[in-house]
Amino acid sequence: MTERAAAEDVAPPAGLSLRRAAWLADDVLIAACTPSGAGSSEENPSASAARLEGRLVDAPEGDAASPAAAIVVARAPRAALDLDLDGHGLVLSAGGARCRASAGEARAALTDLTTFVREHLAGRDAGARARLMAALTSFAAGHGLSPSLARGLHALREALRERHAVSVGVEGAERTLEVERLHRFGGSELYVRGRLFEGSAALRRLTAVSPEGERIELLGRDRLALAPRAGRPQEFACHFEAEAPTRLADGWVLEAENATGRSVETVAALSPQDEAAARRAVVEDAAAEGVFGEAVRSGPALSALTRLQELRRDCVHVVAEETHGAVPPRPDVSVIVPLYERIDLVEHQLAQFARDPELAECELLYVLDSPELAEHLGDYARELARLYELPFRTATLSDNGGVALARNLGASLAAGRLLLFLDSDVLPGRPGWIGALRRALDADAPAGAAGPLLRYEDEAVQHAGLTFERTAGSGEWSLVHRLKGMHAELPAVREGRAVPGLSGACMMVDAALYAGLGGMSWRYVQGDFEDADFSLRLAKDRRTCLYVPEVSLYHLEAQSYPPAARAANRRYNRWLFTRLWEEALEERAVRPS
Amino acid sequence: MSRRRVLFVSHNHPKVRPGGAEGYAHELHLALRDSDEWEPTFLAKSGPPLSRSGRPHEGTYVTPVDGAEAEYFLYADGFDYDWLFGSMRHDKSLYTRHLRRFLEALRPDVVHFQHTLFIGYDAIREVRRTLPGVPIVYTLHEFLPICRAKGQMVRTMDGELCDEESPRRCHECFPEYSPQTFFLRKRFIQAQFGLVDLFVAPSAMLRDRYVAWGVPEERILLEDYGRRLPAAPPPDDERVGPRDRLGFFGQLNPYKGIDVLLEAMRRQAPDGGAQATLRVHGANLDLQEHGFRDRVEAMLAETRDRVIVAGEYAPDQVAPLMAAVDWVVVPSVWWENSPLVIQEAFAHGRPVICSDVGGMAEKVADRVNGLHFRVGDPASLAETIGRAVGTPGLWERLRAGIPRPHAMGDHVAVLAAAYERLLAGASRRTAS
Repeated sequence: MTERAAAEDVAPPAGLSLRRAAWLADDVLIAACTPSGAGSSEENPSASAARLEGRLVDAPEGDAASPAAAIVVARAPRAALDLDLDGHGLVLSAGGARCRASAGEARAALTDLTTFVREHLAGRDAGARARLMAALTSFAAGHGLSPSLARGLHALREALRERHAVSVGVEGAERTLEVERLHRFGGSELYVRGRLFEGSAALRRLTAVSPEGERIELLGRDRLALAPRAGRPQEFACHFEAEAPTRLADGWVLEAENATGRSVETVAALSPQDEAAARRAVVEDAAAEGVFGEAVRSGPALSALTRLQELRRDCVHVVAEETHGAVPPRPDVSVIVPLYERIDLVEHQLAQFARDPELAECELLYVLDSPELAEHLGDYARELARLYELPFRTATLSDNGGVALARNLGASLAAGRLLLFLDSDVLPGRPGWIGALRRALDADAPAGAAGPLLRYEDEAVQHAGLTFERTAGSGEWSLVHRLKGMHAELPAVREGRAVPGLSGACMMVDAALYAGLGGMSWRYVQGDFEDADFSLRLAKDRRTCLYVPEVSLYHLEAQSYPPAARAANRRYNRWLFTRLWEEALEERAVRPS
Repeated sequence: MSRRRVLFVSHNHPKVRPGGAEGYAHELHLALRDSDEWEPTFLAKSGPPLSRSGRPHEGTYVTPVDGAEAEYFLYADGFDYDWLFGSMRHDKSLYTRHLRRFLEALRPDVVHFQHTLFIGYDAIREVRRTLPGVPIVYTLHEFLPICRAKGQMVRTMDGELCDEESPRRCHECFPEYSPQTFFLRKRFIQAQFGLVDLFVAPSAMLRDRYVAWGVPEERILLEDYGRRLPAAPPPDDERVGPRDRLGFFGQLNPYKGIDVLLEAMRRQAPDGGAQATLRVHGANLDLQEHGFRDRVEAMLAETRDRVIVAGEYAPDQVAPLMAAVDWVVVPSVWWENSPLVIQEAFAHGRPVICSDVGGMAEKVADRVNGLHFRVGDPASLAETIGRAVGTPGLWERLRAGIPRPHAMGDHVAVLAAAYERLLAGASRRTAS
């Protein structure tokens, strides 16, 4: 990171004497130096004085009679320096200026941070104090933020910042600012959600202040969603980045100022939870209704969730693999089954696979997307492999990545010419289903993917291909499962055809084609719409989706996700899907192929 | 020629806890021991839940039954039996290691499962895996593979008889399990059953139920339990007066219908007409839940003048007890399969009054060798009892219509022939 210049051009004064110094952090010294003149010692530091390169962070104007001190910060190895300062003195250089202190002067100048602040910083005007904090923040950006520097900056911030009226949560209070949640992820990215009530005046400023003192203006960003002012609390949500590193959990403050100049501030408690919690929180906010909801979705939610999904994509990887039995080395078909929580379903699938000779020729790969169950699955898989004598592989992911990532990572491990994605709650009906699906896919040249009829346990259709439909109210595009609920034997159900989309619960696709298209999209949260998205990408590549009803399996749609979370995920996913594919879908509607 | 070995697998040994299916299974084992061609071994699950004591020796999960050469206990200490699926959860080494070692040591030529309760359906798969050419036979005693509710197909919410399972209906009986879970259960059990070469059903009713559920018809043999019972009933004592002595033989629990019978006794008209008396032989009233127990005890108190509780009985003591009654009443409120008590009653020349459903109605022909009454209906039973007691010559006519019991010797012959056919088929397959 390159060093940034201080907020204002600072003209380095000539020779300086050390007035005061304190440890801002374990390895950062802050010093106040005044021009050498009356009162300065004639003593020189010894030849073996400690020599530090620092940075001028403030050089205020003062009169010749009482010159105000220039403030320099420098990285200094404290342990070594304590000795040197005592013994040999100090030479501190910053820009063109040089500040000298003999051993005695240095000893006398060294004090605690509180005293330093009181003597040299606290008396400055508000603007000077703010500039000073900004310069210190940029220093931290350049030099790295250790835990002790973070604490030191926080102490300075608290001593120096302009306090505003603290927001009170009183009914009808004219000035209210409330932070509902604040999440940090990806190092220094933040997401805040809250509300404010500024009475009759418009909002002029909405500022986030990091614990280390960086001030970040939120108003005016395109990743801020602000509800229209309408005489009641104004909701807001924002995805923003701190330019300087931030490390402390406690100390975030939000300030708001309205057009009349009145300000209010409130504590913003940083959530201690992980990225998964951040994701859930943003998804929940993205489900908000009305104009505000739309602003959240297209602004902070889209950017924060995209970033969170990206972070997950980059971080999730295969941590462990195990092979049980002799998996065919050059299989034509690799069956890839993502597992989330319900590992008992493996046993049920194996009980059915065991009676199907075709399965023994496939590569069967279970991808565990619940890493906390890794040990449990390992033992269980070994037992099942022995009992059922059907070879299979297991791969464990480092974190819960969602079904798209699980399928993609499974595909990256698979050796088959064809990939057959299978959800864990899908049970075959009769043996021979894989061969039938493969023949259908291989026989149909333009087909990019093939999927069977999926039934519920009571013979109702669960899936006979997907179509896309615009919902009347929101105008968003949604998936419709063709003929869902009808009896599986209905003639219309039994008609094989190209369909606009296929469910990922059972989908066969050429492995090279899948890799070429980049696999399934990681953008959707948890698992939803990624199969529809993939179907449309196939269409864009001039490939069709083939519905093969002579092959039929049972899809039990076991409830892995709690319903409330599912609904919020779906809301966002549907919106995202619409945003990504609206144009293409409208074109299709106008010119159906 | 050396004798072929057949292994019987049971969920319990009658020495540990007496019971119908296990008692029959053990009798079959003893009968086969006398044959020249077959050398049987009996493997019975012991330990919890039916027995308090667990496995006695480290490093093995089998041990001989009280020193007997051809009878073993199988233990499952430390394994977690899933009552819903009928399988050991997670750790399958009971089958893949311990049962496997036993099978390899014994090397049976035929494996005949009497029950897999408390052991798990996976045992079938392990037998096929360890002894690939060996035929697997499985006797069906009730509806446990079909029905979670004690295998009786009686609905949990209202006690109504159920004649059709479906994921939805099973979920109605057990709301804590989703329809999808019941679908998984059925597919799981059927997957293991797919490895069975021959099922034995003691009643046509049971066979038909399993065929409807999905077992291929050609794979079920209809063959009733064989018994070591007297071939002909004892000659009857001359009695003056009506045949008015009823007998109940069985557990005093709700599904055997003792409360229906007692209520019928309570309703007997006190007018000068024929009055029946009842001797109740059975036990385990103390094990039932409060409401039922209190009701039964209240009815026993009310009918003290004509109902006697004769207490428990051992299976070999049944002859004099049967002789002391004229009619045996089987008022079960579930379908029943082939109640052993009916065979015992017939063997002792006692016509049977029973519910008009399931295996009871199949084994007792109404007005030929017994009388039917409407299942669960005390008024109907009271009326039937009145008819039984008050119709001159009826008892004699029904007694004359009693069929000969199915002798154990004949039963063994049928099973042995089945084993032979399976072995011949298996060796043909191996040869080709």
